[in-house]
Amino acid sequence: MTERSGSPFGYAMLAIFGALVAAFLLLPLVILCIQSFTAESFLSFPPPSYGTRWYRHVAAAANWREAALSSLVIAAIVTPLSLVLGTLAALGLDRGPMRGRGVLYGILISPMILPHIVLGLGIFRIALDLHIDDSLLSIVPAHLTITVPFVVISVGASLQSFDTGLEKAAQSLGASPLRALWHITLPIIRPGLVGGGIFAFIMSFDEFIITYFLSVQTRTLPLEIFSTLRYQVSPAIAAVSALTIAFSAALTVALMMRGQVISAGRIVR
Amino acid sequence: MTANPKGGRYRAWGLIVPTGVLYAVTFGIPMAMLLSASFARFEAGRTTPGFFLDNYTRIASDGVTLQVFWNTVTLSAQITAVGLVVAFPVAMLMRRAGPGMRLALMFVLVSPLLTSIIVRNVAWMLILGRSGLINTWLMDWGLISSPLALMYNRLGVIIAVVHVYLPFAVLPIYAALRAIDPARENAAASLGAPPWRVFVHITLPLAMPGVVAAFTLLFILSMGVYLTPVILGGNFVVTLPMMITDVARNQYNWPFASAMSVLLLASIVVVVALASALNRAFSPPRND
Amino acid sequence: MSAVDLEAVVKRYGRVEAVAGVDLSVESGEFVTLLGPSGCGKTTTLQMIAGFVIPTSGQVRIGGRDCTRLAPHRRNVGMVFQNYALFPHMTLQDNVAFGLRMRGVPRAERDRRVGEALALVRLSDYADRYPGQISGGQQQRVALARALVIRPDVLLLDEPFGALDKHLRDRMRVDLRELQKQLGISLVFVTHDQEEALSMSDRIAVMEGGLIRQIGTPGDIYERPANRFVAEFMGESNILTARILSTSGSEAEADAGGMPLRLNGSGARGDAVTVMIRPEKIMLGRAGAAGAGGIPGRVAALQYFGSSVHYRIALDCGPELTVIRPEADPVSRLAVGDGVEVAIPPGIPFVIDD
Ligand SMILES: Nc1ncnc2c1ncn2[C@@H]1O[C@H](COP(=O)(O)OP(=O)(O)OP(=O)(O)O)[C@@H](O)[C@H]1O
Ligand SMILES: [Mg+2]
Repeated sequence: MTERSGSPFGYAMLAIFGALVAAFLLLPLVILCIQSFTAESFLSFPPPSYGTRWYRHVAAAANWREAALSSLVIAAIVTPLSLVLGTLAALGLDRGPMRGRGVLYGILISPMILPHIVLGLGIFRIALDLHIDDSLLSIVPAHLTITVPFVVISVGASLQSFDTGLEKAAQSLGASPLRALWHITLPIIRPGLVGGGIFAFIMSFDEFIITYFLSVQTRTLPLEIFSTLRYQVSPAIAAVSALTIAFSAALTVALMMRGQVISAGRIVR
Repeated sequence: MTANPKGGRYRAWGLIVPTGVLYAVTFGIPMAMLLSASFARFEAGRTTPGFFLDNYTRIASDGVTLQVFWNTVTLSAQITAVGLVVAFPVAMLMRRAGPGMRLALMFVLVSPLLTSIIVRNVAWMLILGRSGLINTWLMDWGLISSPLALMYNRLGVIIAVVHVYLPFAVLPIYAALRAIDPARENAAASLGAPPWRVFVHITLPLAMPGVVAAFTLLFILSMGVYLTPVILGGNFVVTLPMMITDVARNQYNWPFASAMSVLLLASIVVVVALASALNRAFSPPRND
Repeated sequence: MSAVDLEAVVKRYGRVEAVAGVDLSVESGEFVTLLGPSGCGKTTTLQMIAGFVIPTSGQVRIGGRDCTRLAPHRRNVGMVFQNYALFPHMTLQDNVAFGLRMRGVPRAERDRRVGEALALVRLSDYADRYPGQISGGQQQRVALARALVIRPDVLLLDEPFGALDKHLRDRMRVDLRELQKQLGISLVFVTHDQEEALSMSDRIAVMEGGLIRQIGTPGDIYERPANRFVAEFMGESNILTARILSTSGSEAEADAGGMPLRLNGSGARGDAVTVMIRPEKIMLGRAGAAGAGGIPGRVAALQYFGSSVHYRIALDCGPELTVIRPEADPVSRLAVGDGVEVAIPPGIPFVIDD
């Protein structure tokens, strides 16, 4: 490909704009993290004095601990399930006939463009009828509906660049189709699996509106933040938020090291 | 393709069945129930199933719902417009940047996606609020005497939603830009087009599929936002999803909430149809 | 006046010297080809004429005007890209009209000139089609019309036939050469295909490692290569080291590993020189056949090419030679192991730089 030789002035303008946008995207989170270390009982920037007071408060508070625990439990159940369901579906699409593939793919990812509010309303209805509202029995399937499309997209993209000749080669060497899948295909599409898994985890961990409809007793972290926000933005919220940021940042950096964030980025294309 | 008999290939679809069952229970059946509920009658806390148009006539005539719907549409249009205007130069930069810079930009774009929406909203509250960062600083420097209203209005909601959804706008535009052979732009330059005309006549038209995709994603996502207007809009920016939640959760009026959901879905279908029409208009004819 | 002048032009990318100092003049109406292996700097040189690459040092003049740092859109240069780079969202008509629109040519004149340009490349009937609706060869011609319609000071083509099949490529060669003569346009053509270069050009500049290794007419380059690189790049050749025995005028007697040669070239007695012999100029006969009377050897290998046969001959005195004979040549019934005699006409061995 020929190099595009645009004007250096234009490039400089773009670079300045890009720096501003990067600041717009990252600075709010950075400021939030700094504020979370305030030693005061109110938030201001920069904090007059620093300390881990609010982290200690959050760690000791039953409501935050329970909320974090239920969010983690739900995400820990939802992530492997969505990986299994999504990978099976992506494989089915990939190995199935060309005909109808586009339509099926569209159906499989359609929950993505459905407003979650509508999804939540519908699931709440059926959960009420089945008497499984405010239970993992309804929350987990609800989260799966949101997370599976991400796995389908991410794994599907990996499968598309996967050379099925490799699987045939393994079979010609005596591997059963299932063993060929396990030993050849899955290791090669691992970036897609990891990317899809991360997104599934984050989506579930972050899910608000459907859980809001379904839950009475169950309090996930977003729900707890939301109900606390009603009264004031307490430094405790900043501390909890900063913890979740640190958590995702650690996850992102770990994957970045292995070059897998880009394949996660592919999801949103 | 493969030597598999045809039946063998169709058998692969069996792998989709588990997801199919899931979607049927969480998505297919509930949507059908929603649609049918939207035609039920709700009177004095009692729901009468049947085929009534009460809810739809109410939407059309109560003067509030249509207003809220219109607010949601204009808000989404504003978010989409701001999002596209911000996203396009970023995508251009990503295209022209070297590999290192591109990776850094990709990281900056993707990493907020990995942070909870509610956390990002909280961050904006701390910046835009009456005693938030911007107002405090502006007052300290004596530039203003009373706090600016940056939050609890559309401005705050637009800023926060763009913050959340910007990556969804940048990535499709970047993908489209990357697909443009730079030789086409060089060709235009060699034919005498200065940089801005190269952009207007070549780059922009060829990037349109990406712009349309970004437009569709932004608009659809914005139509469904609930959390951000609640947190950053207070009760001053009311969207259709907020109204649906209120009617369903606090008034238990399922039929009306369902009808509003159908309205929301219908508007999304319209946007998708518009997008595919735009795409067809922008893709040059070819036969190969 | 020359159409394009490159003076000591250098382009460095970090530590890579893509172009290491090129001097080149393209006369008005001349067809000059830049020929060389991949990575030798052909595209970079062309892009410096077009303005997409700014030289690290040196000067680029177009029509006598210094254009070294001028933006591409301010030069009046036509360019045909390898993949044509047609604008897919515009009709052929609009593609060709683009350059005229940028120049603000009034509507009526624009339409007339676009019509003429499309007629020139025999595409008048396709004016309203889009690039996606025509064949590769037709796209190639649109690209040509689009570059020609602006009446450029010089037309630049970078491997324009690379994407075409062989049949179409041969046809386009003839068409392009005719068009160039008919319009009297100055043209710089880039290719790595020596046949293409030999069959079209007024002059060929053979490049290697960012330098022009030889520049001259196709005949010069092929018959009298200046050095080993050019000799080997321009086709099959025998390159031998010989020792000069005696010199008379521009001819010399020499010995190449026991094989006596009469060289075209001179040198002091006892000098070692590098000698090139084109394989199709070597005479070949069956051993003992009447009229052979040359250096004895035998066929070590042969390859059949349809119109010709390539022999690898091991001479009894040591050296090996490649010999090419037409298929119709009576000696073409030779087989591996057959005894042969080889004769090299005087003046055919040619002294080159190593
Ligand atoms: N933008 C660039 N950055 C770094 N090096 C470059 C750049 N462009 C070209 N080069 C290097 O300069 C040298 C010459 O490249 P150029 O494209 O001019 O070769 P070429 O003769 O056109 O080759 P080909 O026949 O493969 O097209 C190559 O070694 C190439 O790797
Ligand atoms: Mg090249």
